[in-house]
This record gives sequence, structure tokens and C-alpha cells, in this order.
Amino acid sequence: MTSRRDLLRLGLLAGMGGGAALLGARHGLRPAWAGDDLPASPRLTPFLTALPVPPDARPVPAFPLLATPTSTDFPDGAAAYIGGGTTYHRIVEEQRQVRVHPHLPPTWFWGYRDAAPGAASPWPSMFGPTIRMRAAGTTAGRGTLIRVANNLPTPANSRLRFGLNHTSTHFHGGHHAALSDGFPTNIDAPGGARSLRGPGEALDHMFPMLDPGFSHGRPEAHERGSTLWYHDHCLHFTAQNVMTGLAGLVLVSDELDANDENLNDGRNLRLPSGAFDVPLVIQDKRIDAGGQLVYDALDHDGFLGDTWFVNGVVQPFLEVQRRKYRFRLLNGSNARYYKLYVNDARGNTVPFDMIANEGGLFSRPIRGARSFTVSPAERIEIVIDFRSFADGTRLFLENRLEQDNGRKPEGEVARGPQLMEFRVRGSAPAADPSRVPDVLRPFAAITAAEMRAATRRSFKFERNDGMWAINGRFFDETRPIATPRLNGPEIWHLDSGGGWAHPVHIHLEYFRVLTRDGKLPALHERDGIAKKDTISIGADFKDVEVYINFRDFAGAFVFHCHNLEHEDMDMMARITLLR
Amino acid sequence: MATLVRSAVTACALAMAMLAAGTGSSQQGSGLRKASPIPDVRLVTHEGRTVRYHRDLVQGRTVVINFTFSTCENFCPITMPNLAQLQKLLGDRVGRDIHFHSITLDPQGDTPPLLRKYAANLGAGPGWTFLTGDEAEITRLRRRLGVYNPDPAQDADRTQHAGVVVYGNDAINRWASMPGLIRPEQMASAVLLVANAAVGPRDTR
Repeated sequence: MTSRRDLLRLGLLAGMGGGAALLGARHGLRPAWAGDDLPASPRLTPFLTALPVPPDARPVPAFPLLATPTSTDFPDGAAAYIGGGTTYHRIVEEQRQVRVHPHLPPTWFWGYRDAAPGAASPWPSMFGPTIRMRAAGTTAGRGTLIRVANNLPTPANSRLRFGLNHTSTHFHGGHHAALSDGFPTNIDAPGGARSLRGPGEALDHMFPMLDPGFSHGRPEAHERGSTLWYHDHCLHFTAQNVMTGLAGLVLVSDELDANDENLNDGRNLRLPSGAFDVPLVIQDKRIDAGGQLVYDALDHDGFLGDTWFVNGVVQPFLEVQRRKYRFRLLNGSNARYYKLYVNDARGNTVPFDMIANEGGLFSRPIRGARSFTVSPAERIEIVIDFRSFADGTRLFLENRLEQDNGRKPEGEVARGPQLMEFRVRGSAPAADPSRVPDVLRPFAAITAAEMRAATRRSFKFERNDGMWAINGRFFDETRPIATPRLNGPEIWHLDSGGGWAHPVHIHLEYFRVLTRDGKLPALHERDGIAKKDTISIGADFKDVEVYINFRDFAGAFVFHCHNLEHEDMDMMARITLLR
Repeated sequence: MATLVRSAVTACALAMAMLAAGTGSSQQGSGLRKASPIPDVRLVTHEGRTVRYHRDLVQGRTVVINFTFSTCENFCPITMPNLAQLQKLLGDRVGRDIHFHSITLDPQGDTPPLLRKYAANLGAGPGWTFLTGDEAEITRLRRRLGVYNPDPAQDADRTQHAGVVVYGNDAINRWASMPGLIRPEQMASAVLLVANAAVGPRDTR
């Protein structure tokens, strides 16, 4: 019997649209168990759709804030950070149809839409609008206010067979007050602040964009993010609601990363910008013969799809000029890990510069990289130079990590499915003012003295009789697992038990990765080069030590496993940050 | 040759269009009409009544389901009193639109009379049904509800399955799960969210 893994080793499945074979392997393992009666997705011809990029959100005129009482859990409302320089957006959660492949009828999604006057209608993407924010440094009143309104259908009108129409929007990677963070439940006293919305309700989320540490007189500009994302965070329904399509991007700019490769002012790094700065959100999904999403809400090992989506369509292509491109890659999958290569049809790999991850720009580029692994919610930004490739060259983004269930990836294989295609166009290299300088966003690594002074905590992530626990506990909306003091640095030891992989996401702050299984981490995670907001344990490494300093915003936040099915089975903990 | 290709393309497009039309109609209101994932296994209640599980006990209702057995010493001493507390918190809705099902993992030992005693000890009201039956049927139901361990040895150990509570609203076909060890107040708001999702926009907290 030849397994899918053997086939992958032989390269026989390379470029295959999906996974009849994968489904077979799954059936072989667990006949008639939850998730196993999902139909295999239809086989689809890849690379027929041009890569779409979700349009940017358009600012709207200032509007009066909703009345939002504060509470001890949510001490800061939006009003405290409003000023003359505040940018306003209106986003609506809705049900809509989008074509994901030319051979399929349109697919029903739930998604965010830009509700600004003049915004595209109907909204053309599965993803919500890309929200561009500018770092405000230490000047208050220059942040972004986003009203998210729930206009999701009643169950009777839902075209999806899963997803709950109550939502709480989390802005993943942001530094903002607890009430704007998307807490997964309503924990307030009656009449108090509420984070969960039903249809017809809205919440104002405020993003001050002030440098972390601003309220302690120690603002740190190097803690600015780059590629963030927003997605639903409703307790027990996050996995299905993200699968419906409730996700979008937030891109942050500042004077170093000014979004303009032509701006030569001595500070701007001049990274590739505009049409040459392309987000790539990678997801695996499962669809029926009619092109509609399928999902099993009763399978909580971790959902795996058999069809590859990039920016909300099946295996797209992108025509590229012979010059440098910046790609901001987000693993937006529920449970799948990817090890990604850029290679030609024969598998010859192309080198690139890695310049950023979810914690923003690295202190310096990692030159000549050939692959990287991303667990759910992790981001990696790379710059590929297509200059030396001939007109007509076809290159592919290829995933060589095999994964058959939600436990963890099986390991690397010789060839894997091609998620998208790059088509090189141009008889000669194109003009290219962009650069990848040797220094990006420098910052000092945590010192031995700072480590000695830090409060230490330990959290064990493990399967607990079919459920998912942190230190043997399940998510408790009212009782914090820890109560760190603001501006009191901590070192957290995150440990995996039982052989399952867990991508751990901590809200509010980026953290520094000190050790991996007691050793120095790889360059793209190492303190001094990188900061992170999500870190995988239990796959390649058992445990990790991270340094984190919660600042500026008190109240209720969470950390959790970002395998969304694990999160929904309560592998999440509340922390209460104290002033 | 060109004709052949063209007719193949036409046939393919036609098939696609039929597929689309077919799916379009079945998608109408699919959130409601799509078949429930809950299997219609044959079970016996603590009152000795033989039932088809989905047809007789789940259809159109909000249900709170767990697996247990009367001699369980692992999680059951926490989960079962938690469910009893949850029953109190949900008040008179239990037995009306919300129903509790506790299914034994020890169908040999847990006869209907024994389950009756177990139910009485917990203070189970009329909306809380305890179920036994054929072991194979119960295993089928348990695995379909996602209460399993992918490791066969651990899956065979019944003490491993007594912590999970599956809940959902069959009328709108929305399902989720939670540990039975969390605070009953938090379980109550989770159950009410799906119980009330059909009727209106408000979270009832």
C-alpha cells in the first residue's frame, strides 16, 4: 500500500489541486469519526485565477462614538485616544458570494466589508478590507477608530451550514486597550462594557498606534508591527467563524517603512511598495461539488482542508515583472502548518531575503533563505528578486510539509502542492528603485540583567482527556490564570505535553524568543533579530522561553493556542493586567 | 479535433451549470435544512424507552450532551454536579427547548434502573435523559460527536471521554463543544447563545 506520504516523496502529487489521497488517508485512520464524512473537494485546475488583493479600507468622516461603559475588565474605552488626527473606518460583517475558481459557481462566505461611501460594492473579496495604519509615535489622537457592525444573517437566512452570528473582532498583533482587543465573551456586569456582538449590534475598536511603553515614559518605536490581521474570536465558535471568511489584514507603516520605494529621505528603507508589495494569505479549505464551504464543528483535533486558497481564491497566479517584490505571507489556516519554498516546476529552489515576521521588521534581513515554516497565525515577509529570470519563467510557492491530522505536521517531503504560481514577464529587467538595506529596524536584545529581574511563569499546553488545557485548566472568562503588573517584565516558559503541536498566541505585546528546547532559536525567531506574537511548540520543539513586557493597557486579555479548534475547546487563558 | 474539443468544453460547461443550478436550490436556507450531523442511533432511556436518538431526542432542540458512567471516578464527580448546576441556571427552559443527554460509556453495567438511580442522585429533572444501549451504537455516536482519542488504546479507555460536553441547537444546525469542568455560569451563557441564536439578535446575558 502506497501512502500519500510516499506519493509525495515521489513527487507524484506535486501541483495537485487537492486531496482525494489525503481524504483517503484520513478515512483509513479513523473511519466514521467526526470530520470524516466531509466530502473530498472537487479536483480543480490550478493557476486559472489572477491573484486578488483585498482593497484598502477608505476613511470615513468622524462619527460620534457609541456609548460604551467601561468596567474593571475593560477600563479603557475608545474615547480616551480620540483626537483631531484620528482616522475613522466603518466595517460591516455580512454574508456574500465570491467566485473562488472559474469552474465553480460563486461561494457563500461571511466576511467583513468596507462600509465607507464609494467602497467597492458588492465587496469583491472573501477577505475584509485591508486597513492601513500609520504609527503615531508618541503623539496621541492620531490613531485609527474602527466601528465593526454585525450584519450577519439569522440562521434561517444563512447560506453556510456552520458559523455563529455572534462575533468579537480580534485585531491580532495590535497594541490597544482590552475592550478593543476582541475578548471572546461578555464578562461584564449588566449595563457594562460588552465585547460580543449579535446581529444589529456594533462596537467601536480604537487603535491609538502609540509606541508600546508610551504611558511609562519609555516608548519603543522598534516595537511597531508590520503585517497584522483581524478575525473573529467568539468563544467556542472562532474556528468555524474564521472558516466562514471573517478575516482581514492590517498593514502598518511609519517613517522607516513608508510604503513608498521612491521616497529617498534618508530614513525610509525603500522596501518594494505599491503593486510590488503583495499580501499572501494562505488557507486550506474544503468545498463541496457546488463550490460551497464544508466544515465539521464536532471535529476538534484541528481542521485540515484539501484545497489551497491564497487571498481567498483557489491556487491563483501572479504575473511579476523582473524586479524585487515584497510578499507579506500570513498563515490564516485553522490548524495546518506549512513549510514553504519558491521553486520552478522541477523543484529547483529560489533564494530570497526574509525581512519581517509577525513582530514587524527584523533588525536585519536574513539573506539567501530558501524556505520557512509558518504555523497558524504566524506571518513571514520575504523579498524575492525576479530580475534574473527569463520572460515566461514559471515559479511556484510550494508547501513541502506533510500533515494528515490536527496533531502536528508529519514532516518534510520532497515535493508538495503548489499553492500559487509566479509568471515572470519582461524581455529585460524592470526599473527597480526598491532596496533591502543591511539594517532594517534595529533593537537591542534582552540583557542578562533584564532576564534576572523578570518574573518567571510556566504554562503547559496539553491534551487533557479529549479537551485542551493550559496548566490543567480550561478557559475561565472571569478567573485569570495570571495577573502580571504593567511594565513588569516576565519570562514565560511555554511547554507542550503529549505530542501535539500548539501555536501559542499572546495578546497585546510582542515577545522575544530566548531559547528553544534550551538552545538558541533560529535567526527568524531569535531575540535581537525578531520579535513575535505567535510561537509554535510541540512540532519541531517541545518548549520555548519568551520574554514579554505588558505595557500601557490594563484589564482582561487572553493567550491561547491558535490551532483554532484547540482554542475553541478552551485551550485559552485569561490574564488580568494590573496597573 | 477542434469540434471534439469544443463539444467537450460545452459538455463540461453544461455539467457545471447543472451542478450550479442543483446546488443553488439545495443551498436555499441551507443553514436550516441541511441534515443534522447527529446520527440516529438506537438507544434506551433511563425510563426503559427505546428511542432513535436524533429523531426522538435531538430534532429541533437545543441539546447538552455528555458521556459518563455511574462508577466513573475521573472527571464525572466534577462534570455531573456542574451539569446539575447548569440545569438550575437554565431554569424552566430545561425540558422545554433545552434538553440534557447523559450517555453511558458502560452500557453493560449501566442498566436503565441503575441510570434512574444515578439521575435521581444528581437531582436530574424531566429535561435530563440518561441513555444506555448497544455498545457499538454508543461508540458510533461518541466518535461522530468528536468525543474520541486518535490513539486506539486511549480511545478504548472509557475514563478518557467523560470530560467533554457537546452542545448545539439542532433547529439551526449549529454545534460546539466545551469541557464539562468549566464554571456552570460560563456553560450557561454558551448554551444560551446557541439556544437564542435562532430567534433574535440579542445575547441574553
